[in-house]
Amino acid sequence: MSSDSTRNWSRTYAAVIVVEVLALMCLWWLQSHYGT
Amino acid sequence: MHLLDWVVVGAYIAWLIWDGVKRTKLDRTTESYFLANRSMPWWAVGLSVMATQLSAITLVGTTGQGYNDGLRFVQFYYGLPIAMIILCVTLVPFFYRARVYTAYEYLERRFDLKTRTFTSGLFLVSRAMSCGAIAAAPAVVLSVVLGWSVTLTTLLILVPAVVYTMLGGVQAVTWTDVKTMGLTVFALIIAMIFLVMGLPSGVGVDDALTIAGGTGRLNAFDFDFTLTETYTFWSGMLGGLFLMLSYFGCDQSQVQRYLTAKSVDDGRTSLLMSAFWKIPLQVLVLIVGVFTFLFYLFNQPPLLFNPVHEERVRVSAVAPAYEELQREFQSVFTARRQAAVDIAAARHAGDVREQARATDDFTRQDAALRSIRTRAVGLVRQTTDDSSYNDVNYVFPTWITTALPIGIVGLWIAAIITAATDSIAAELNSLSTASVIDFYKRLINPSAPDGHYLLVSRVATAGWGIFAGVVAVYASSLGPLIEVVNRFGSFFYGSILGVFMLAILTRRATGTGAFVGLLAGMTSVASVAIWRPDISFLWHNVIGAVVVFTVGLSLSLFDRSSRVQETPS
Repeated sequence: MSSDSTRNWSRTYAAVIVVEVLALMCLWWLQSHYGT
Repeated sequence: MHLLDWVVVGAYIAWLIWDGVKRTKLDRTTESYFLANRSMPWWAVGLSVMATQLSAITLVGTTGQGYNDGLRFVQFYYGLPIAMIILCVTLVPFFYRARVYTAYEYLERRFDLKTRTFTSGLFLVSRAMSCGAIAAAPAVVLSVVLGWSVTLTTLLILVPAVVYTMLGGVQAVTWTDVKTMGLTVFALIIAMIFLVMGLPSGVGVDDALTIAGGTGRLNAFDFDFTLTETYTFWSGMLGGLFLMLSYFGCDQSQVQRYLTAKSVDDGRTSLLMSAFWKIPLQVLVLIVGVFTFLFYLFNQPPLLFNPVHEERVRVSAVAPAYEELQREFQSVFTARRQAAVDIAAARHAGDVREQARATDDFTRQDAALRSIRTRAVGLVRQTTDDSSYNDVNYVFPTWITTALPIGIVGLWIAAIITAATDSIAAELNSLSTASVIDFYKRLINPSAPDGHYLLVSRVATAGWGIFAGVVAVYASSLGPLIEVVNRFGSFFYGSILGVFMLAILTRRATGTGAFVGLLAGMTSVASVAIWRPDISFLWHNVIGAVVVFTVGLSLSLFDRSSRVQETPS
């Protein structure tokens, strides 16, 4: 088991944020298109 | 249920047990039993993290929430991806470098023995009780749906978990989680297909979403900043963030999952799997609930979904009132269905005025139907003394057993049973780890051979399983006690997070400061819960963490007796 990181994680963290924003945008579209 | 369904359920559970028992020979040391020799692939660990959190309560209760309230519950998870990133940057590398078995072991290295023992003890008490509650909730629902006794359904859930966890250790738990996640997602997709196919002719998916949206069931954002409402954007983003940080970062049942990964990078990747997939998965579960609402919009549902309670009401003194409600229910149901069909027809004809009229009518009838159901549930509570009775927990299991074809019913019952089983297995595994590593080995018998600890670990797993079984079987009669225990858990969840924040965010924090801070945090949360019970429990996590950090750091600045032995690097 290695306890030291061997890669740069910044891009992965950025991807998590982008995916969450996209998921929230989809939910926002669903609410504004069909919701009350 | 048909014989074929029972074959599916029996075969799946037998496979889980056989596969778990097969792994017994792999566990020759405590490190392999508890941490799989830190050799698990990231994707298996990631699925295990998700499966541990996805219990049968999620499948039964959350679909019920989707049926009743729509998507608003998803706001609870908005803070999760951010929490995962914070954990990957902070706690995960600390745990890996320290090569610990339990999260609390790290606290002794950073602070002192009393802080470790106290936090681990809190974990044992709350998780042991919640383990019983996790088994009890689906056991009660399954007992009603299958017509079995609660003791039998509890055993059906608990026995496989105890057997494969005791024998196969964390490897059996992880690989069972992988299978269960696959089965659950497959079963959800199949359910969604059948629900869409179940829409009547003339009503498409777009019409169905318009109708559901008209009742507010597609609302996934509530931007009101109020401390008393549990599911809002802000409570999810802030309260949910602190809860997820505590659950995934300081709770042994989750920490142990990613400590089995091959490297710190694999540990991080496994956690980020939840960051990517948790919200979409939760939306899928809730959408299945929304479409179950649509199914029962066009197909006659019972007034009460729990047939046992309905029968008791029918033969009680309130039977005439219930009969009256049923007549009212029938007439409002027919009117609401007609209004829904009118909405679809008006949309297809492009008649905006007629669509608005039908939508108004539908909304009115839907509110009337909801009021009738609330009154019916009130009659149940009055008749059975079950003050916390919630009929929506029976909606989805009723749909499964009455609307799905033979074979698929068995698949779904297997999914519900094993969702409960594998959450319990993960908890038993972590309870055994904390009790052996933090108490038995640390305080009682520190110098025994490893084989002895392995034996004690298996016995501890079985012991915690029996304890969970007793709690589960008596959970219904322990009602208020279980509530007290759950509330007790919420008192210290955020507070434990505060201790870990002191451990890694500052070099100045001392053991005594952290310990007193922890007591102050728990007292603050308990005070808020007692004096302001209207404040949502999600905010308790924020209060607990902030008080512990502030008090702990302030005291540490004056506490020169026990300066830090190990500083964060």
